[in-house]
Amino acid sequence: MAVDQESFVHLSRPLAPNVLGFGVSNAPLTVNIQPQAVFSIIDHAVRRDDRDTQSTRVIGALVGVRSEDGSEVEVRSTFAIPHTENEDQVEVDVEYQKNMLALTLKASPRETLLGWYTTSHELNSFSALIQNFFASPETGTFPHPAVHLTIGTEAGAPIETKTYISAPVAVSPERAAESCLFIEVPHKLLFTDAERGALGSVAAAADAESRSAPVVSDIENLAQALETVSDLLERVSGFVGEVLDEERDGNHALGQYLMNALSLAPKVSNLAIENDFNNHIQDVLMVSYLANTIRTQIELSQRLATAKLDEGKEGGEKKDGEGAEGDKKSDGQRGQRGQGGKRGGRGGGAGGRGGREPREPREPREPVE
Amino acid sequence: MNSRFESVSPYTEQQHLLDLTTLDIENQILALALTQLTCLREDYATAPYRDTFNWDQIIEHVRALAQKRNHTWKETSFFVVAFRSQVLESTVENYADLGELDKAAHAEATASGGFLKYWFGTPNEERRNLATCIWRSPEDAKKGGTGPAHRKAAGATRSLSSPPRLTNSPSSSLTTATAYPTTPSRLHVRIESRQSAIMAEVQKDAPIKSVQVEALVVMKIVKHCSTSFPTVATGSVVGMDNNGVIEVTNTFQFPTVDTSSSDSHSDASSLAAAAPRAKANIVYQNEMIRHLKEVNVDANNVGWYTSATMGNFINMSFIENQYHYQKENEKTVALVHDVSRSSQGALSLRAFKLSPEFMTAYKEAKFTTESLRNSKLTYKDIFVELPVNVHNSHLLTSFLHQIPAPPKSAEIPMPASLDDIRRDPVQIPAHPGFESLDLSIDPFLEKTCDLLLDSIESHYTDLNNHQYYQRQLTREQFKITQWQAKRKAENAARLAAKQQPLPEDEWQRLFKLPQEPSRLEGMLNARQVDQYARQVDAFTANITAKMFAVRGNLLPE
Repeated sequence: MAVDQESFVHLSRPLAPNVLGFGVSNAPLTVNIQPQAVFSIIDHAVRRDDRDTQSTRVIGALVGVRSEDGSEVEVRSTFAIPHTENEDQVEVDVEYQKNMLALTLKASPRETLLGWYTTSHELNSFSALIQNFFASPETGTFPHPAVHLTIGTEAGAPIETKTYISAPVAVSPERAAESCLFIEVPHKLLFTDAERGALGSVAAAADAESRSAPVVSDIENLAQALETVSDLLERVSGFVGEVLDEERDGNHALGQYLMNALSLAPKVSNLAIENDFNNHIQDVLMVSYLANTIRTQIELSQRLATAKLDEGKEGGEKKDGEGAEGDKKSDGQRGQRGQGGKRGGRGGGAGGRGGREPREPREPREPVE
Repeated sequence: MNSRFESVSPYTEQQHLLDLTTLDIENQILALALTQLTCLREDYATAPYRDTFNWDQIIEHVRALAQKRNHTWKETSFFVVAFRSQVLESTVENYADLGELDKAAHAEATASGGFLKYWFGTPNEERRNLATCIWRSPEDAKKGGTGPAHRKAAGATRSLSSPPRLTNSPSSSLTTATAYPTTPSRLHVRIESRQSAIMAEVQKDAPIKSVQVEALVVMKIVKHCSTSFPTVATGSVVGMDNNGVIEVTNTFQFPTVDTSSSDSHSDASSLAAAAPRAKANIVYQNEMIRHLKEVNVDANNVGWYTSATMGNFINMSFIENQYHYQKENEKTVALVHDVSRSSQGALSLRAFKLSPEFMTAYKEAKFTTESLRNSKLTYKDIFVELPVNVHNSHLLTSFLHQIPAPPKSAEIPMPASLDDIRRDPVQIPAHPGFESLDLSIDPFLEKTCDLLLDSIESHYTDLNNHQYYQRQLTREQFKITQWQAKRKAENAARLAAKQQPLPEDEWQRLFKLPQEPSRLEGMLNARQVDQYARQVDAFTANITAKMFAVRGNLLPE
């Protein structure tokens, strides 16, 4: 899933004359932002300390990976940098930035410094000053452009993100350090599949009044999903009903879409369905039954191991008994392994297994009881 | 000296003096009496707090002062903070710098009011030290300890002190006391004038009830674990303990050695699994925590996280890591993120800690049959699982409500063609995720079965070990009985011959009984099997529901 801007006009950035020698491309740059980077910026914005500084924004560094040709960057993580700001000067803790960058890169050596972020959309001469610091050859991303990410955290306004790169502008030499041209570049918020689940539970917390939600078990999650699906189906059938009752104008495109969706239902004979269904459910229940049997046996073995028995000779006997049990278990194990093999080879197709298997692994259990 | 101001600390400048007029009479009397506070013991850095100072004399003094003013002493509580610290060797030479910071912090605390006494010693040869403050109330202490100078000093001391290690002191529950604890410690001293007794009561800490994880932490852990999958990923989690709830506010991964070139996967995994207790990483962790604290993150070490596949995390390495954390600080947890299970849609993030019983057993490394029988410790008591809650900040909540963005107007325009729908597909909200409706659950079941079989195999190995031990034991015991019988016969013969009988307990020297193998492996294995079985149960419940849903769909009644 990507939360994307719809369309974007790329402006080619002017390059400084001395940069040209390095073979820097001015190809369009795309910025991919991973959600944890945004989350981390938001967390930083919430934790800002407004006692010592007049500034309402916080700044920090963006860390991530850059594609080989430098045309695409992916922001993977961020870290906060303490800074103070007032009308005529800005102070950034450079030492802190250096140490923190070293620490971050130690944990993930493939990542590099990409640029910096701040939590207000305003671009001023301080922004330029910091931008030049992050783009400089000694301390920054040179020869690649430094990415500047702004994210609006004003109360009441939507939380917007914008990304920029910069180019030097022609001003007098003494003012060069504090001026640059910011050019907006497109960005998207990129979610990988692994993050969907996490985002699900985070979103569940966002829907709750208390802003927190427990991590639910699979079955609860399934229940919620099924409920939502049946709600959605209800809505669709409500819509179709309204169209049929001529309470609402129909729409060809939607009708076509629904028709396509409905035609996806497979044409299988009822008998085959019933058969496959029974087979599969039997298999699943079988595995569950076996797993629980194993659990019981292990529990039994653990209890026997520490059971109150008389010392000495009887202890030996106990161990023998346990050994025999272990042998039986290995039988059971073999029985199950056979099944496991078949299961692996089946690959989703319907096979003709059935009632024969359950008996086989059950045998070792009976003598125990 | 001006009678209004009283010197209550080793610093005597005006800004360090206590203004008596700001206090009520009980506090005035105590402040005056505390000027007589002297240290009684040379080993104050490690001695019990109660015995360190001349409390009896102070009480006498309080009584005398109260009489002199014709005041009837009301029972009053004061708040005592004891800082026990150990500075690093490297910082002994710049101890003077610390002194400057300390002085600034003291001036600030005095200005905030209610600061009755400050005393500190000099570091002993082990570089341990004790400092103590007496406050009017915990609120004053809290207020006085939060100013900028305090924080500066705290930042400095954090880098300079190693964590305090206390063993035989009654105030050892104050282990959070670095030189400047952010949370005041809970030693409570009540001074009663009649009995002239000090009752020190240490409030019991609330046990951990649940773990609250910030969304940021969830995302970071998930990201790290899924990118390094199938190699195990580990990292540190930081946060704070708030009244029995561990609030996890941030996390960072441990540096791993890049093993892509030469070593195989299993090496990388085992290295990563051992990372939380590796020496280098402890340094890294402290450094990181110090940096995070500078940007206002509630960064106290509250544990670590690890990734897992289908719940296969229960092993010796896990126990060792958690023990390593929990032996220093009771309130640490292990977060386990199950990458494979999360790929089915629902996030799987669980929090564990070791049970106190298991901690004791592990400390003594006693896992013989007998000790387990006596302690009634079973495989079910190894871990305590804690409920996990995900928490969002307000700002994050409003951000989440923007993805996917809500429609701009109430009336949505109807699509003109099928391509319109395809080009701009409906944005599905993240919660509840529809991934959990996926029908292909068999691979997961299969994987669990495989892991279960592995567990059974290791159970079998464990059993074999024990059988071997048992045979060995029986053999030795048989030999001993034989020897004893022989010796007895010999003695009988000697007795008949009127000779001294030979000692009959020599067998203890002659024969050595084999050592019983530890039962721990077996216990862990049992716990692992238990977990797999429950997991299969959960899958079964899921599959059955889905299967019936599918049948209901395909074969309408």
